[in-house]
Amino acid sequence: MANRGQSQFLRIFDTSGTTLYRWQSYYIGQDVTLDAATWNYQPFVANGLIGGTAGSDVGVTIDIPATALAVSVFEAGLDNGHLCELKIYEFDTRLSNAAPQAGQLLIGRYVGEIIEVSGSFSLLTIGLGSSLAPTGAQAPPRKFNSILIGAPLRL
Amino acid sequence: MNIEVRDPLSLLPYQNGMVVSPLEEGAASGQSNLDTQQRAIVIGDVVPIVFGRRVTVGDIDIGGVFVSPGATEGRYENDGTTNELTVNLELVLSEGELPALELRDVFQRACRVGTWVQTYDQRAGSFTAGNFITVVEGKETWQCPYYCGTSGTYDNMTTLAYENSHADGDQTWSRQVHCFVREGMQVTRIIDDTYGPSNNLIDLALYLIRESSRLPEDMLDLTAMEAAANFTDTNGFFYNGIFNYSTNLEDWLQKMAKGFLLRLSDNNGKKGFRPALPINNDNTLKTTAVTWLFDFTEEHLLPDGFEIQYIPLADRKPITAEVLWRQQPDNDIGIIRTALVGFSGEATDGPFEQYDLSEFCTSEDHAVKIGMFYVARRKYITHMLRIRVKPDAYNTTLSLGDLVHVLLRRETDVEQVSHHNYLYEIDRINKTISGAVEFDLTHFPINENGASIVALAVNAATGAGYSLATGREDFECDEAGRSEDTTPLADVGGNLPGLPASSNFISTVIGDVLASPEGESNDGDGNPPDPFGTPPQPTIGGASDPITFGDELTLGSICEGMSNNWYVVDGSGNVLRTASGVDAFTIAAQDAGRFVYAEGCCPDPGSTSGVTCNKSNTLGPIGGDDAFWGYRPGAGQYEITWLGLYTAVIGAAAAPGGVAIYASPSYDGGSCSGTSTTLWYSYTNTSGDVINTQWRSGSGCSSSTMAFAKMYWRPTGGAAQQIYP
Repeated sequence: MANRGQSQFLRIFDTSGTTLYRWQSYYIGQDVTLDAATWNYQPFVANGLIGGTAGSDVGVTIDIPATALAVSVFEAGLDNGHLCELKIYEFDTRLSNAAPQAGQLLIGRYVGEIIEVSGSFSLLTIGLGSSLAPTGAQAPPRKFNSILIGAPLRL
Repeated sequence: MNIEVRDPLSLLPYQNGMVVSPLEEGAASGQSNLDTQQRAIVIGDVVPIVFGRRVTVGDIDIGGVFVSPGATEGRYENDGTTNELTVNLELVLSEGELPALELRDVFQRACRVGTWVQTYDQRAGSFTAGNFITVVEGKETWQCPYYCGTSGTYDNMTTLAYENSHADGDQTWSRQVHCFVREGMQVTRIIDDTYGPSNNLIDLALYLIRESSRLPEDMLDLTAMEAAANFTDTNGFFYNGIFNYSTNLEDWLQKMAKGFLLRLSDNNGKKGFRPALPINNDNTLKTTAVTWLFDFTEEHLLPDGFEIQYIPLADRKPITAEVLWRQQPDNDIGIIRTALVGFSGEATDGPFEQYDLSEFCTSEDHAVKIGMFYVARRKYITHMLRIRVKPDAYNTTLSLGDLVHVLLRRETDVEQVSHHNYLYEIDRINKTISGAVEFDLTHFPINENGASIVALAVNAATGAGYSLATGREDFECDEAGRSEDTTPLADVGGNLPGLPASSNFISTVIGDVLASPEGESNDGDGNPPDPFGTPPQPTIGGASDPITFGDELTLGSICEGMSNNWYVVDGSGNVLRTASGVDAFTIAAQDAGRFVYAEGCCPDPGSTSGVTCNKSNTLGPIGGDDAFWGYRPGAGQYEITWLGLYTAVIGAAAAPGGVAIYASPSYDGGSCSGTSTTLWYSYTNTSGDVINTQWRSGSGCSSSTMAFAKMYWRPTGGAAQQIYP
């Protein structure tokens, strides 16, 4: 296990698929290239349940310093329903720690909406998950209203 | 610090559908009452979704939905001679577009009667709603509704218009109308990518997820959805029902999944369904030996990485499942049926658990297999397991639903080693930043051939295969030939003029919610003072105005047992004289030009000194400003702003700008008598006049001992300048 490194890559994108930010937290202070894209350094840590049965509170949290950039990114993300894709890679630290290795393994991938932002003045905790509300009635989607049926018959 | 809280393992059997005991039992939800009062739609009712598709499986027709649509508009008119009543009703059949119904499938009460038309996205028919009942002499007057409805847009709905006539005195005019829908709302089916009616739960689930919650497409596991759709289609698990009650979507998805041998899962953040039993490549249930992907042994487990939870006895006891489903004949109204499912010799006299699938299930085989699934899982699945393991090759290979083998030595006997040796299905995966992986596993029971026992039991479960008679023999109330008439209803409709004006309030976006308050001030100037934020300040009393020599000062009390310390300071705060523990303090002549303040010290057990001292207000300069300044320059003159402690002797100091200042003998203490406090100085004002003046006269010191530490002056209106040292 001592030779096993783990890096986390976070992509923030909107519902149309347009990438807004690409961040990585392993290669300190440098931009790295992965999948033909540049990933900027941003210190963050992700943890959570990446797979489970419904109702088992599957979700990922991301802890990130509350920099002006992070605050603005996640305020806007929560406001506009942006999504995050978290990828966790494993690699052999003996081979290289300078840049993502070609042979690194993708061991976890999680896609979620930014559903919760909380924390302190210096630290933000971002909750990624599904906006499918656990409470409240959402289905069927439509209800009869005055536009649809006017003032209906009264028997 | 983050505190990680995981669901207790004991909840897992309930979360993964292992334990599905119904919370309440009652009449079949799929039942429709026939001979009732016509139902009127109420504003706020959900728009129903009629979903289903009648198909032939083998030689049996399965599916269709019996619907009792609500009315939104009515027209009631009688003949002025015969008093025959003509009733028109506007009805909403379903959200979305449905293929045309057939004439044999529309009823009033249990009878195929009336004239019907159908349309989509608009009002069906062309009648004008209203009560046009007139009194006919010698006939009983019809008592029809007066509030007959206005009209609306009927946007994205399938609507029906019904018309029927009733002879004088026929009281069946107000009875409910019904439709048998063979083909429900049309969607793009996930299996064949074709727009049309569907009986696949996955199609309905996708429609609801997309329409109800707007879940982004990136969060839908469409691969898993398609696999699940193929599984239900292959095994004959069809949805034929009307969704007409408001509920939480996630709850509904979970509830429905259990009725289709599916599990709703979140895999990598994506929502999808997966079969609850192992399947073959052709989507049939796998009844041969299963294979697992990894063997976990002691080598992989981390300390305290093994947690086991057995299913409670209450959820293990044998039951007989009583499964409700809907038998739907081709030319008659459907009936609710039950299927009792259990193992021979077990729970034959109960307990019985009711599983109501009549909302959507129209196949006996479907009902029996679901019942057997519940019964077999109770019987054979004994426990859940949570293991915490070090990272290894399985980091990249294992995913939800995979089978794994856990083989652990249990050495509790000197001569015999036993093993924890079971197959499990992965229910949850938790990958942590430390690299450790946590799996929640459900016991996967196999027989001696390595095949899933539950899958074998479910696969073998088949219905008796007979149709129960509906009990109806008299079809004479049908109009002639209607029961065989497959003519589709005509598409007739169009919205009426004068539709209700929009009463929506759609506001434009007001401002930027992320804007900062104007000025971005954070100095808190406008905040009210904190009454406890500053220490209490004692006030000096007994002073003249201005304070002068001979004044006997006292200090107002701020606490019991207060003791006072007095301080005389110069203009820069240097303490020149003190008096401790003195209640009253007298100002002396030597204090001229200085300042005085006191400390009121209160007992404080929490302080190391035993007291906490609070500073009073400061009074001075003693003797007034003249005493401090000695000479007050006039307009345009230079002003000495501060005179410091006398520590050095000077004769004269050169002043900036050619202005000179001179000091003559003066001293306070030291080798002089200690009583003289005279400072003589002169300066040249801006007019060039040499001004000799004194700050305070006295005697006893020679010029050689005159000293002062610092001297400042400033041009009137200008900045102060230190001129000595």
